[in-house]
Amino acid sequence: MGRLTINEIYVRYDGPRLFSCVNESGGYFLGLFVEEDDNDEVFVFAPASSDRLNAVRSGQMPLRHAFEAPLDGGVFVVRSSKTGLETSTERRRAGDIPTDWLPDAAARLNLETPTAAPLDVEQLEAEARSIGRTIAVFELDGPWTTTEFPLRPLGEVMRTIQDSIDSFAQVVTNNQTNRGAIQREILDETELTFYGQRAASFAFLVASAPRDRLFESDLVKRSLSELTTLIDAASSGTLEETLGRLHPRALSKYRDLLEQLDDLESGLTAIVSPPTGQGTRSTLTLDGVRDSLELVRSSLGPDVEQVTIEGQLIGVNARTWSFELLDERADRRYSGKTVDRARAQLLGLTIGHRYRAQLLSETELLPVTGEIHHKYRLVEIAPLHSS
Amino acid sequence: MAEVVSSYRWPEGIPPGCPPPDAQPAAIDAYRLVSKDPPSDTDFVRPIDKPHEPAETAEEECSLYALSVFTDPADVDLAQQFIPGFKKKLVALGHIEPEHGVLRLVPLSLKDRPILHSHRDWWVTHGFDAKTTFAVVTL
Repeated sequence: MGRLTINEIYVRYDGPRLFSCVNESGGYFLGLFVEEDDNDEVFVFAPASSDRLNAVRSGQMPLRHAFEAPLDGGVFVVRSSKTGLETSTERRRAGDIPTDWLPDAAARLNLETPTAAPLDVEQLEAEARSIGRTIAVFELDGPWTTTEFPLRPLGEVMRTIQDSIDSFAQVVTNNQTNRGAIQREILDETELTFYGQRAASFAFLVASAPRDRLFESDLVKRSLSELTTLIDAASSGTLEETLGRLHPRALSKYRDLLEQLDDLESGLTAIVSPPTGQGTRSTLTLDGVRDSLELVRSSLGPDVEQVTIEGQLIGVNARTWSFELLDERADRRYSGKTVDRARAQLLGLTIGHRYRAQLLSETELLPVTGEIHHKYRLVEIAPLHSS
Repeated sequence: MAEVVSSYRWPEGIPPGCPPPDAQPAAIDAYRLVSKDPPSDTDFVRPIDKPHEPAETAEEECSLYALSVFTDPADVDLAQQFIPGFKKKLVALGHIEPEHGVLRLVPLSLKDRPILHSHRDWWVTHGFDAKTTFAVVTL
């Protein structure tokens, strides 16, 4: 193993009991206290790559697996005297160590484990100046300890951010339309690209699309500023007034973004670094998301209404909190997401049974055609006694 | 309480500034993993008194002069799930009084659920025989 230096202690009890260490060649090991008698303490060391170490410390991999199935199949058993400095080291096949030297199968660490470069705002500002393009960071509360995020909701959030920026660009250029596609010249200027990922807890970077020109138009920056203004307004108590500047298309896009954050139980931090001038940082907590959502819905007026339906439950997905109901009398299907407070009601319902449901009906503009359709969010559901 | 802290006598050799100022006296029930029933002197040997690697920081050095205890019995069970060397240990419960020394909370903090949240370092005053306050219990 060579000379080891402790890298990180995970469990300390009268000294390190579970820890990672590194030898002079940069090789990592996980060390674990497994046994003692009157004379000696025994530790097992399992070799681990930095990726394996991340998997263990993030909780993705059970601790036991790291010792049961080390990468090269072997572990080192180190017996150290309680009274002197004598130690003995023996290499064994992992399969030969006693099972009572292994942690319980359920034992997992669950430590924040960044698996992407850390977010460095100063470096980002320098990069935006350097490439002459606006770079924006959107930080979400990820569900995992590693710098990863589920693809489907992430894709939805990314799309809604682009849609919001497009509609905010209509506001800043005074070209508001509520139906039909957004003007081509606006879409050309506000197109964003995925630019990277950072650890913070999960942050994705977007940038204005690369164009064959030296100086970018400031429309992306101004449109992103609309978003950060809305975020800041939530904490300064001026959201209602700020929302008054937005046309229904922009309001509904911002509502969509807030609903996605609500579904993800995530706040949002937006950092905007333009190629010239000052950058901004704005944060919306999860409570801020929910408060803002209420205000945006009331600003949308008749576009949002609560409806009560009675019908048969066709489907429930407890992972995505989506539902589908059939109103047999009207021969109409209703599907959508379930709001946080109604999720507990959704569990244990029986497919095929009849229920009374309170739904939030919201109008939505389709991004390409600008056509209007309705989307539904389940607010409350209870069995119908006649079913 | 400050008067109690300043009146402590610590065992010989403890470094200056140790125990740290945030370690405080407490009247508290605590659990300690032991090998003998009743607990013996060997169950209360400080890490500094065993062969050990040199500490890299003053804080780590200071913790070598403390004994580990849990104040939540659920942590004892969790520690045994994580650390195979603890599975064969017995669990002793003791009542620590302010005159027995000072304690500092050193939890293992994990993202979703705090585990081993009640782990404390206990700096035992000079002359107090820690084993006398502990007795083996069944959890």
